[in-house]
Amino acid sequence: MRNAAINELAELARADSRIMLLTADLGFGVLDNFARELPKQFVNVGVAEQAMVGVATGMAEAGLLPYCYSIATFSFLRPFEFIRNGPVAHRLPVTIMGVGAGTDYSFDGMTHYAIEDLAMARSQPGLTIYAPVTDDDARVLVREAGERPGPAYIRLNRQGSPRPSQDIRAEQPQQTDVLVLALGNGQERAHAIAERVHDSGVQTRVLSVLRFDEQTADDLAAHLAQAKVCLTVEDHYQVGGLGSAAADVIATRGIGVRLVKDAIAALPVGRIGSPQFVINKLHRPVDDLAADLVSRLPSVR
Amino acid sequence: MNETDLLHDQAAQARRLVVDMAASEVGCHLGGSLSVLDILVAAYAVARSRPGTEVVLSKGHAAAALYAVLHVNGVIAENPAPLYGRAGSPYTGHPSPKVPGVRFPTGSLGHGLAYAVGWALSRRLLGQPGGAIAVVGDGELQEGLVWEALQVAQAKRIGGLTVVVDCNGGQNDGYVADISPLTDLPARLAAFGFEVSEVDGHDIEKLMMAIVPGDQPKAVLATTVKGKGVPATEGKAASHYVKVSPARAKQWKAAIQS
Repeated sequence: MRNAAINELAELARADSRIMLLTADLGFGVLDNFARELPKQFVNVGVAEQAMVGVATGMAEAGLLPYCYSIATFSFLRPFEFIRNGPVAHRLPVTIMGVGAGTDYSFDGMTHYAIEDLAMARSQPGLTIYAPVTDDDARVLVREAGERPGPAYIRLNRQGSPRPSQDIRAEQPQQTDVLVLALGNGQERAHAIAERVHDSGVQTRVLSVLRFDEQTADDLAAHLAQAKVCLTVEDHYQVGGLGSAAADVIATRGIGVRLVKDAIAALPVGRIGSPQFVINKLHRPVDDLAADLVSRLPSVR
Repeated sequence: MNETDLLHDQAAQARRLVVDMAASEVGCHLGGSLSVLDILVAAYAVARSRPGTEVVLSKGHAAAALYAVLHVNGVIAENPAPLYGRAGSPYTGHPSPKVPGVRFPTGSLGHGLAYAVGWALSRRLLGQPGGAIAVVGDGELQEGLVWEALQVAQAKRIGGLTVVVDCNGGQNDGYVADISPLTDLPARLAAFGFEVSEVDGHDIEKLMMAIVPGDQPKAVLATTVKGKGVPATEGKAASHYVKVSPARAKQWKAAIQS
């Protein structure tokens, strides 16, 4: 997925010399082609993430269109105050690209997990957040971020999901017993849970939330109003992420739907391993969740 | 075996373990682990004789070297190499405090020196002996936080603190000299009130002499070679992250001299 995103950005950059790609020394193997082909539009600032965002802010103020690329914890979490005081406060077109959303960098340990980035990003007025699921989504959303004014954060995974996503904004609301809303690479897990629920004869629908912006609450409300139970699935802490976004909408708009959150509750430290091992360790078992959802339906069939 | 021979033997054993970790399912940051390895052997040898002295590996991506050196020092009892990268193992690509002998989680560059300064300052405030030896990468010095921590060390006149820079000349995307060169580094560190020395980062005895913390904060610029000790990887930029077949790992281990 990161390659798809960078290839799309390269295509935009060929046509628009204002586009600048910055990295804090984490572009090896991913940004090489861009750097070779468009050297005047590429800057490796060194291992200095705060400076990267500061430099990007200066560039944007001067009329350029900077994109800052690194592992998500380093491009978004670490320079957060710089993002807040620069692009967000001044509505500048700086796009932060963070790779390794969630626990994607499983084996590298918690210093590399971006599991609170959505909570931080959602708090910022006017910051558009893009959460692609597939490589195609990444291409579309990189382009969309480029066309939209103001700052953006694109949270990427290393690999895109092989299954196409069903975008909550594009899909028509439909009545369903269980609505499963997924964030990013949570889509695969969402389908696994939905299949278990479906096995109990319960109607399910899986959709992905690809954008967090001023329309997202309306998107969520329209779909939540058609469901009896909603499950949110995200590789993110349970506070401030997709589940919290759904809870806000349910409570503030008085929608009669029960919400179950599948998210990370505990610190992800200690014994870890492959991506699947980490997901299994940090999340409830799929069967438990499926049974929980079925039991919460107003009338159990 | 005298102490010097013992340490050389430790370094050779630890290098073989690092190669074993490069042969794991996930591979490891081999180049930087082998460049920093003799520094870690020397740092732990110094810390052993100075109670309360903490070694902090700030360049956390060299975790393989840290686990190997902690094992040959007896701090990690089990052999971490066969467990490295295995599901359910605490031996992750960047160290966490779940590993015996590790107090601080590192892996986000620039954090470790501040931890070390806090530790050294606390020993003084608590009236306890000891201090800290922080091991940082040369590319890592591009992080502004490193210089903030140096500033705190100077402002608080922290003794018992040594910063060792693993000057292997490389960083993730290329060479330090190309990406963001560290011009006049000895003078810069001296301007922060550090007593600066420059040593061969693979000469364990000289490293030990330079590292021993003093009343004034010290900075040791240790010149090293990425991939040191495994001829096939020495000085090669491609040695930054390596996953090697078990057969090749066997050849590489056989080539390691003590």
